[in-house]
Amino acid sequence: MAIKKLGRRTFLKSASLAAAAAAAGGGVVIGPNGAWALALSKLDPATGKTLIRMTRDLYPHDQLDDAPYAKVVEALDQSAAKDEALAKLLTEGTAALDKANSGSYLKATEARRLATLVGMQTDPFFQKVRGTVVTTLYNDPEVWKKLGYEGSSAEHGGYLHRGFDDIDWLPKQG
Amino acid sequence: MANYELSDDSVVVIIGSGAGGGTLANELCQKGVKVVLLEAGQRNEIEDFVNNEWEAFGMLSWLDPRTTSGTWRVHQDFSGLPAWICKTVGGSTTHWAGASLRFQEHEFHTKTVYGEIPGANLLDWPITLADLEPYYAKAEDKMGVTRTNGIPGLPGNNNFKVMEYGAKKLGYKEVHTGRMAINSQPRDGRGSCQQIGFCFAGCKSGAKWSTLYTEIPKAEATGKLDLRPGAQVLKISHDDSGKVTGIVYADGDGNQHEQKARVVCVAGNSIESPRLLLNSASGKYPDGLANSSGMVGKNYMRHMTGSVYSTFEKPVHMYRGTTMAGIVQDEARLDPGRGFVGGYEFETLSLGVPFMAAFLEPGAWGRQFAAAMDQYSHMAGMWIVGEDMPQEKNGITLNKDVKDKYGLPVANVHFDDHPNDVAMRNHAYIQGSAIHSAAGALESWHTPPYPSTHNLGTNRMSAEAKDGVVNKHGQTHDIKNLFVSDGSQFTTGGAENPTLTIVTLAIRQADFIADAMAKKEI
Repeated sequence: MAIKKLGRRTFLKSASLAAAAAAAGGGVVIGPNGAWALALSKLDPATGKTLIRMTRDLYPHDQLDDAPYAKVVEALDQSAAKDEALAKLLTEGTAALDKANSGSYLKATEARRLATLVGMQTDPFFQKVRGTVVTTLYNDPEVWKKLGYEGSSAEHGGYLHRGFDDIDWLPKQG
Repeated sequence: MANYELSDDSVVVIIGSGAGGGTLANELCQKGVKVVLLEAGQRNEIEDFVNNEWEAFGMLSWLDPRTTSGTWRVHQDFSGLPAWICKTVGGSTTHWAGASLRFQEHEFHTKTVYGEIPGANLLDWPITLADLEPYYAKAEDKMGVTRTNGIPGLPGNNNFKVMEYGAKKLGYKEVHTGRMAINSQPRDGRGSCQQIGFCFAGCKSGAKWSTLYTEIPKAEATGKLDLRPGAQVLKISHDDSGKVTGIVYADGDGNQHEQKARVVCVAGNSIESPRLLLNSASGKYPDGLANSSGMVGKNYMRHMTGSVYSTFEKPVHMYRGTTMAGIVQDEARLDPGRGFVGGYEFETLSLGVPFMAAFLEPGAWGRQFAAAMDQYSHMAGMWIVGEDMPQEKNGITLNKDVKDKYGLPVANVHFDDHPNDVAMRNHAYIQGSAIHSAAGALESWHTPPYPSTHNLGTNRMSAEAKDGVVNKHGQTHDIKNLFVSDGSQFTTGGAENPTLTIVTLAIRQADFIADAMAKKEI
């Protein structure tokens, strides 16, 4: 995974990550306080940042930081590295987002960003990004934890002795 | 395990190893009949199953290209995935939830009982409940269905308790943890349910009946079964007299072989079975095999379905335990006074976060949707499943513009809801929401039908050859050594989950085939 959760001490190492990514033709996006870093192999950092914002606008969970959204963008970037047409779609799509927002989607208000997204709902760019968020963000065990989903259970013996019937708030049937 | 020659024309070839084909194979092998069982998918065993929705979907599902058309929502949201069914040894019995309900008597005679419904192509089955009762009993015993044969019901999980509370509050009476082909106690060499969840991903404990680890190994133990996984059947062959003589299949390496046969039984589910008959068209049968009625591929049914997911103030953890953990049956009754004919069931259902995101409201995005996902652990869910109307225009046709990797036209699945289906769904959404509301729901989502899990009717059973494809034994009207052995035989769909009836028909058909072979009639 190119997404790295970084502790304070490892933050500086992201410089080498950035160098590696730059050598591969992409770039790097580093999260606030160096909490995570996204190494891009195809897309440029500005496109990456815009896509992170867009994916959060599509499925905004205030309880999530940007790291799981960056993973979605990583998935898009990895696909784009193998698919020129997709790289073009994503680059042109983010350019269109900027153009519709006086040159910067990132600097626009939420209301304006959403209006832009509503206006492009049927575009292949929007559909591709939205579909990738659905199958990536919600397939992330880190996100599952936040949403209260426990994932694989067979290796824990199922829920037979782990609360399959532990609901305690239903009133007595009367 | 047997290994028959391709030239052995004394074998029965069965195409598909799911509820119909897998059961039929075992029943015939137990009678000493030589069976070649061809399965397009691979042999994934219990140890291969994973508690991960997308990964399991990729492993078990039929993902070969198909197309869709019509006004159904699936065409809009999942245009290449009309059905959520399986391509693996065991077929969709690896994926099914386990609900095992008998048809009601009137559901075999809907044309007579419901009368003329405009736009519906209703027909009475050529059999009655009484004909099937002894075979239903055998199927329930074979599958270990709870609440039959002295087998206790499964314990209710959190999701069931919410539904049960609300349903009883509303005055519903037939509320229980279902008749499930899931062991509530060890039986038939398999353990009891560990409340793992992930029933749709393949049962890791083997408590849920699947032909993969019941019928098929039992058939193998007779020494009569030659199971060939990775075998995609391309065509059924026939001789000048019109009798079928074998099939052509591609093995896992793409090499084509012709397997000779005395009898051919098609059990590839209601999309692939008619596709195979249509793709087998010849000079003698220009419209496809067994299609003198023109009904091959027509009258496709998928059950009236939908789901209700509701959020609650406190946690539910609906995903813990049996996916289909209980049922409310009161609305399955015959009562046209509700504004529709036919009935429906409420059955609990849960999806994990990955599938909930994909299916709760396909295409939806934004803060309201994300807020619902934030409430995931506080959600309860139920599925609604009822009888839909057979319509001649709904069905499987060959899409000559899209070819599979063997160069054969893929199936196009066309479906438009009948007004009766819509009226029933709306009624069920309202009642389902009311059930959750009575248990304290804050908000309910009316989730549209998923890609079809119950695919029925495309080779329907009829008394008269002009009305359908097969007779009361699943034998095609046109070709006496060609049979249909899956849910495509269903004349009409009933309100009940179809697997028990598919297994029941397969057991009955095995008796007929073995008898007819012994008498040299086929």
